[in-house]
Amino acid sequence: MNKIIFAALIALSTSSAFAAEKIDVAVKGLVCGFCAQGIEKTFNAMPAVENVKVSLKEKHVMIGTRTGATLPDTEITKALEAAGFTVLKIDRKNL
Amino acid sequence: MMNEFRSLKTDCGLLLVGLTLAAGSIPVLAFAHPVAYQGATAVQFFSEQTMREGQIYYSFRPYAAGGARHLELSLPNRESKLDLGGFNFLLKRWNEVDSQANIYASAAYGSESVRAGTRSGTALFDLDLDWESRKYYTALLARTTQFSDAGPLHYYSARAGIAPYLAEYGEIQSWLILEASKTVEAGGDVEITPLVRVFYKNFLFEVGRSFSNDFKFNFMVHH
Repeated sequence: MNKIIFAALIALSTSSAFAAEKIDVAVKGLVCGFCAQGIEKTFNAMPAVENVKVSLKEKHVMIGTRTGATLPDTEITKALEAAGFTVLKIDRKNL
Repeated sequence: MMNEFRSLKTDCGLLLVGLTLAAGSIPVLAFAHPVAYQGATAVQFFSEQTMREGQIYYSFRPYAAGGARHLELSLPNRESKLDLGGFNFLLKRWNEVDSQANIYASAAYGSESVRAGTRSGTALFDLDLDWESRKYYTALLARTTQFSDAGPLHYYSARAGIAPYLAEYGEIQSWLILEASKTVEAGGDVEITPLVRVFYKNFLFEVGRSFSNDFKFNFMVHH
């Protein structure tokens, strides 16, 4: 029984670690097309990023990661600050 | 329904450009974002009656860019071409949920070509302030050009704009802008120019004609 529970835990943790993620980042200062283009270009250059969508209306950046890749909050915040913006909140969802 | 609405907004943007061109206006002056995101290259060209300028710069830091600019001045007492190299700095940025404000400074140094030959020792300093939301836009520019053989040249402009509709990134964004500008040493009144700005992804295009029939054009691309 213990072996089964252990195997299930391993399987769950493994699938979680290697699953693609959808990351929703709320950003301050996102008001123009140049802003959005800079963010899009910055994240598209990252190997871990599958796709990125910037919404001026929602003031959010939606990042999809590749399966097996990780993109820590620190890296997201650093990239957005380098692009000239302030991060308000980061939400993650496993796909 | 949503697609139809987006299409209508796109059509409105194209209509604004078309109407402006049909009215005889040819492309305007703006110094949008002298420092872009790190790693970006920006190319800008603008033209008006007394001044034409082309510049290219590379943002090597989020707050600093370096590059070159070429200016052509057509003033009553001065016809010359300037070739300058310099830096643009983002001195301060305020990010808010619905808006952004910036202070930029630029300094450039190089040579001036006139009919008599080439002189070195020309310097240019810009101070730009802007505040914009998705709906409103304001900007101030102060420029001083220092010559080796004459007194300085001072140029000032102030702008206010409104977006007739709110576009999402990837859609055509239009702005209606009113600009007041003056080259002090050129004399005359403050020049008032209505203009249309169109944003599409990394392209910015402006066109207008002042009340004194000065055609203005501005184009900028970030890559």
